[in-house]
Amino acid sequence: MPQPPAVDIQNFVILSAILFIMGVVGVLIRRNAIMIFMSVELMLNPANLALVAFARQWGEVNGQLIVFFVITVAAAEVAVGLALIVAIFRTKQTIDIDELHAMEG
Amino acid sequence: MSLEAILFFIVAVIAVGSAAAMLTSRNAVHSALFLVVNFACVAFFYLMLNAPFLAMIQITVYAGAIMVLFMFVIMLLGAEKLGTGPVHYAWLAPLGSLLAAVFIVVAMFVIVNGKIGSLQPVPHDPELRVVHALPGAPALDIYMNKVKALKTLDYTQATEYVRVPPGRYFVNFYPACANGATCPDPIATNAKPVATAVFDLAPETSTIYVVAGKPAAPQVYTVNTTQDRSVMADETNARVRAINALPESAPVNLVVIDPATGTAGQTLVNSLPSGKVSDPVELPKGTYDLVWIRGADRVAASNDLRLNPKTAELIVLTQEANGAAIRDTSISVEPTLVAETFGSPQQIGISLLSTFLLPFELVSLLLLAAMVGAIILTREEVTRRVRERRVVTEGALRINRARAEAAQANVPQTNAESSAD
Repeated sequence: MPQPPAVDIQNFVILSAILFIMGVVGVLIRRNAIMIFMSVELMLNPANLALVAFARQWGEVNGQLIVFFVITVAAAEVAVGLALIVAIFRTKQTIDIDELHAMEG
Repeated sequence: MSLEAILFFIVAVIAVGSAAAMLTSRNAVHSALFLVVNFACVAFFYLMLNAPFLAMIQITVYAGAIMVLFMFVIMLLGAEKLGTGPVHYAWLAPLGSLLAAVFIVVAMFVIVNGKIGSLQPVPHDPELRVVHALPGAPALDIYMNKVKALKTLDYTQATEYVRVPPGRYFVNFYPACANGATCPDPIATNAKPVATAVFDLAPETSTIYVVAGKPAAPQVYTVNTTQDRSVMADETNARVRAINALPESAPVNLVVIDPATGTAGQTLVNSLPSGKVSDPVELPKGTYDLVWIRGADRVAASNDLRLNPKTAELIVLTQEANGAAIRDTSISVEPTLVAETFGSPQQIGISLLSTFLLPFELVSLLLLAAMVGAIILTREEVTRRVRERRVVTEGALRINRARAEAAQANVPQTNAESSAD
């Protein structure tokens, strides 16, 4: 098992929480669909950071492997999500989510 | 404050600042560039946390491939300034910010009160393997606390490392039951074991037990190999450890023989008494001829012993039954891999191709599905538009036909048109 980390894991987790919240705020307040999508990426990253930090604390490599899978799934998600955005833009001529309320009751 | 802590706080401020700039900038291209800065900061944290492989993945896949895709779509759609028009849901922004503030207070409370930094990992279970070096004995089944734990261990063979819960085990070695044959349960019939031993297993240790000695009076020797399996500084070396398992013997030396001249070279182990285990010796990888020497006599030899890098090997000096006679021999136990450096690409790769093989395959299938999905999504759009156009032209043709019929029948045109609709 490696030496104890030079910086306390708690600092990494606090930073993760802050960055995650900023991603949440981005999803809630931005109206450009691409910006919302980027904010989701911003939320995924601190989750990965927390996983790597705990992997380091535990001396277990499994946390890092989960991050590897998260990054792979994020790549797949971005490919499909951006294709969706392009398709929506072609039909509606906008990606402002306030304009896209066709399913509103 | 240590250098690491100062670096951490500088990069943390950059990460939070770039995230804030990403959220507030009106131009989506600027936001994407700020997000790249944020990803680079996270990659730096990965490096600080002994995850160099993930740091490289973060840079290449996230900051590279994914952000290029984002940039491409922003440019393709001309979406730099979209989403800045009149606001429909003005109450969402203050409410969202309020919820975020509540969330961050709760998260801080949990993190600080949970004392995350002082949590301790659960210790690993001890691991053990058994080597059969008892001359003249049959293959062995091994019962730990009266439960069959390992079966059919042949002479000169070794089991894999197995993990068991820590504790004290009373171990009996019984002759193995031949494949397919039905044998009486030695525990139920109270059979006499070939050998018995007590294993005391502490957490976070690796141990090799060597069954050796005289056929009439077997001995079980304990070799603590925790150090043997620890990370190796020089990755081209191999570790060698020797045990003198002869029942009665003067101290012996283990010597490397020079293959060209056949004379004794480097002495690996000096005067190893009977029943003792040497310290591990690191040797460069390669093929060696090793010989046990007592005084001037060559007792036994392990010839053409291949040492692979990053492996740990155990060499046992014991006896073998040769008909009625018994002579000394040297056994090299099948080597095991030394632990990899934490978070190294090798360690990640080994885990990916062993423990995580199924998720790895599933994720590759998911990527394939995502690729197909992206193509279908864009193709579907084209086919749908074609279909729409066809509906429109068919409708127009029908109206025209109705108009022509109405003109011929002198019926008022408006009625025909409404019926066509």
